[in-house]
Amino acid sequence: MARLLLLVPTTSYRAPDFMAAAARLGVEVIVGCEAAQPAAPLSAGGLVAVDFRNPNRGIAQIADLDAARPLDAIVGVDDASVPIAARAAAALGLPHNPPAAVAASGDKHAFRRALAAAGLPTPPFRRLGLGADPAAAARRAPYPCVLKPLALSASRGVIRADDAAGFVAAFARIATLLRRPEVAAGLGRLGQAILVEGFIPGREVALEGLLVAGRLHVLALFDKPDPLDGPFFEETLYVTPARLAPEAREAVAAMARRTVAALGLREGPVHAEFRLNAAGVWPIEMAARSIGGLCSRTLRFATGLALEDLILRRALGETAPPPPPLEGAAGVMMIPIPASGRLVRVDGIEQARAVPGIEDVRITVPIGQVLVPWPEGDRYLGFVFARGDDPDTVEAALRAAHARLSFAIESVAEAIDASRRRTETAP
Amino acid sequence: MFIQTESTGDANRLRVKPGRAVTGSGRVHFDDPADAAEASPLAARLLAVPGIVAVALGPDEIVVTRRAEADWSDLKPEVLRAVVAHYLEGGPALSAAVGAPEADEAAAQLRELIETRIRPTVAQAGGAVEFRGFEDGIVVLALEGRAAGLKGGIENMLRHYVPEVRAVREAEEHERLKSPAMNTSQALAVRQVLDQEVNPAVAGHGGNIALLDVKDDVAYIRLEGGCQGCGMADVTLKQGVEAAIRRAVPSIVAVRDTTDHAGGENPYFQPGKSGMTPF
Repeated sequence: MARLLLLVPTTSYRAPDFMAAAARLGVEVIVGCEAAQPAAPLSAGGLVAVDFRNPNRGIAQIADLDAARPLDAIVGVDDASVPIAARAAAALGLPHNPPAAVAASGDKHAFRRALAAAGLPTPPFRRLGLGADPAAAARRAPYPCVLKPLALSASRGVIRADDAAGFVAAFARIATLLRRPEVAAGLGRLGQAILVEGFIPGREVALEGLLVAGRLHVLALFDKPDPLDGPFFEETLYVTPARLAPEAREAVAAMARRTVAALGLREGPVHAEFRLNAAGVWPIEMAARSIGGLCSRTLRFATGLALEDLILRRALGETAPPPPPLEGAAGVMMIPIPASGRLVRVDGIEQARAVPGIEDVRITVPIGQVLVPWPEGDRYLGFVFARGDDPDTVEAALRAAHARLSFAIESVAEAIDASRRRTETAP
Repeated sequence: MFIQTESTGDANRLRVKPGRAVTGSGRVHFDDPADAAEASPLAARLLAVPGIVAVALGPDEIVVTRRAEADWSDLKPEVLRAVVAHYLEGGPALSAAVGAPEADEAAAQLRELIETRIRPTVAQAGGAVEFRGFEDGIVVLALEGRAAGLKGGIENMLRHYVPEVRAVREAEEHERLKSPAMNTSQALAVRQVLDQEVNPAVAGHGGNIALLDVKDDVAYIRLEGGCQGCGMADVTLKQGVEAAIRRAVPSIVAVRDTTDHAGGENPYFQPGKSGMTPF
């Protein structure tokens, strides 16, 4: 029986879907997490700790594991574990992406440099250390421009600036975010700088693909119909198939292939974003992982396979081209966080589920938790999933369902008062 | 006289059901033969069995605790003989000097701890707790709201102050565990895995895993506290809980999670787009 090592960050949304796919495959699964798990002693070696932040140590841990129980594939399921998966697979001679290519895809400055070196469309860009003088940098910035951390995902910390004052304010805000201990610890040296690049206007699409021996198979192309013009870039709607003319679709796929080649990626999933305008197709980002959050649940393929099935099958050596997606359209809304404060209640979930075309509504922030809006926030309120005959119907269903949801959020001051009242009234 | 014995989930404890009243109401614990000689002829007789180190008398049951190195195959006939002899003699389980259940020292201490220390803390966290009883080292509590997520901490505190406490159990689960379906040999074996291996492990994350049913060789469980809604719940379930149960009880073919994970208020790991990278 084949043996698969899944590297699962403890804060990943992706664990359930990858675990389900692994169970469907019927292979032996070992899960590696960056933190020791309480269930590890129960697992007979099926749940192990792997140091994601110290790659050399983590790779040694995986090599020890492989020596005792030879592995057939190593799959990193999210940003924090993809790099070490690539490096460990390379060390063990398993199918993998070149580690340098994975590193370039996870560093937005390295990504821009790789694209520029390959002659791909790239806005002017510059890397600024956190200790740089933002006022001086603002004088040389191309406006409008976008300031972004080098490594955070889901547009966290990404801010548009239209003038010098906006630049200085954005720089300070991102620097404050990057200096938070939990953020700084996770990012390492990538948390020491900010990327400034020219704002690329236009319509944004996302591409989901699977690389098989260097060949990119486009699995899905998503519209992102909400305008993403800033100042922040919180993601909301994804609808597939994208409502693009066939030539535009092919242009995006062609640019994705060129981006893959520029980075040197060869194996496994890619999730990429592009903008389209009169000048053509512009790569925004490309990650060597699958789509984040719970969004992969919008994708179903012929013979009933899920995206995670395709990824794991390829990792274990399947060479057949991935099957096409099912007919029809699908979409997901990453429910935006409307305000900061403590989530007290969510109303209208059943009414939202009752909207025709809606498949599910999942609130993923527990009641009682503090919500932090973008650009500092790092989690969605939840997800709404829809399916229908065409993208317009799906988008309308997602918006209608979202309109039925309401969120009671109390400010931090109110939360403190409420806690005090509960204490005072305790019998 | 028909006497039943059953596992308690603790290999060192055996539940004996004599088929008639023991204390009638309330529970009394003995581990000192001298105390037992004064307060309970039945307990004194059982503590006289070599290898028996403690006796708890409940309304209709007796729980005897052995020395760890003792063998039940030797002890059990002696225990049953003592119980039969006691009932044939017709004396009371407790002498008149022993007070009513409320006088049970440990229970009273637990009640006070819960009222004065635990309840205000739980209320501050947005929950409620009520003491329901103390049986065989199990503190039975009604937990509401966010109190479920604090169960591990409550248990640690109660165990610290009242050494007789082995575990805290929610009232609903406590009642459910008394049903016939939860007392088949298969269900008892699953309960033993959860009580002895799984729950002590997940308690460190404020979690608990309750057995809801065992039917057609499938164990139905519910993840509670820090496990409910935890981003790693599937990993814990598949790699840890299911593996441990199926290893110990091979007749179990699957473990099904029935948890409403969306209702989890204090999951240990919460998913987010932290975007951390090891570089």
